[in-house]
Amino acid sequence: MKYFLIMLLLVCSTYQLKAQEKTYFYSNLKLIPVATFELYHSVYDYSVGIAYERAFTKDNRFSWVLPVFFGAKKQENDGFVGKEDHKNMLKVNPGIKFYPFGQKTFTYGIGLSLFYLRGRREISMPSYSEISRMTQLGLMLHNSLSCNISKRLSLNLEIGYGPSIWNQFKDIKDQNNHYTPNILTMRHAHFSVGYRF
Amino acid sequence: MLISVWDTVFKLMKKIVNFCLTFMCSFMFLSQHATAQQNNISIIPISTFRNYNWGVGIAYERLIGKEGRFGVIVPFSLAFINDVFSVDAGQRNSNRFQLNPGIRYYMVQTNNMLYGVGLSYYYIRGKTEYYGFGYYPGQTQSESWKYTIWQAGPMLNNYASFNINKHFYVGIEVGVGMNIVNKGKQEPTGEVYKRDAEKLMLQTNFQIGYRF
Repeated sequence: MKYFLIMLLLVCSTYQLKAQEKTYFYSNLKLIPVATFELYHSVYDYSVGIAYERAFTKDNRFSWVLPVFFGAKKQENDGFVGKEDHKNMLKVNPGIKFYPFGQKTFTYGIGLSLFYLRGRREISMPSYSEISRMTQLGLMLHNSLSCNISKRLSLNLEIGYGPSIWNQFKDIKDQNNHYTPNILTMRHAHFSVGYRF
Repeated sequence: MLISVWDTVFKLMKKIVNFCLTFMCSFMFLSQHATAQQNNISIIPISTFRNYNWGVGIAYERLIGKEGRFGVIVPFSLAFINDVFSVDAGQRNSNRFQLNPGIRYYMVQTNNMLYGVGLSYYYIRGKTEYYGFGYYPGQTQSESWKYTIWQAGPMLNNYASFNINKHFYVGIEVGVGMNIVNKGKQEPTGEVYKRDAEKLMLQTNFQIGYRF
């Protein structure tokens, strides 16, 4: 009887341990050391960012996510003499994410999000210079793979693409002088390290 | 005496209840069978095509067979294309529609996901207009030419869908196809010509669907 009780206790405790192992915390703060996203006409921008993700269902399958990216890029084109700078690029990308298999050691996620990009573009050539503010607004689809190393740490890879529905380049000096291109494409990839709490 | 009567009544009740239960179970089974989720309708908020920018669409699918391993799917989508403009000349594009009916075979069916491969035949049609200067030497004034373009061919699709609950799901699809028919028609004359550009067709789409 004694041994039976001890065995039962052991079994119970192991079950509890297992159950504890399976639960992850709801909030996840992610640091994004490397991110690329597309600026106007296939100019890829290396940027850094930070993201906050919070699960809103008990089974950890759905979560809200809010990443913010900062970037700057100096480009010297072969096509023309001069340079093109993209400065103070800020991209906010709030969205919803769905993990079909829940949170496991290795899991897949699919998400839909909106993005808003704002920045400054400076073109300087010998005969011409222009400083304009660029704004983009659009929709994006994300595919991500994440590896939960421990209860707290996770590594994530993410690829996203979608239409940039509203785009505008506005001259800073002359507010009436603006150029609105048609629908562009936004592509995006990043690597992130997450910490759950 | 009373006890024995009660006993018989109780036994009878038990029999009736058992019968009712079995009957209900069978009925539930039948009804389940009758309302097996064979249809699904999905909206496609984001899809991309090669050479075109992006599109939106809707799709309807019907599963065939008891196990639901085969499906017939009819997606319809609208692709939005950019206009092209340089200093001298430009191109105005109208939006193109794509119809991509096909069959699908679901190789993997689990509680969480479905994976399937499919074969389809697509058809794309749209209008475009070239205008401006510099199309031939000695052009003195701005001219324009209108064309109707259509493309068709077989496409191989890979499809994965993930279940949110019993009715709703999200899915992604990647397809590779070949333009067997790739033709254009000049608008006023009606002259049909064969186009050389765009031999390969690629499409991806993301869909949110409802099964019923």
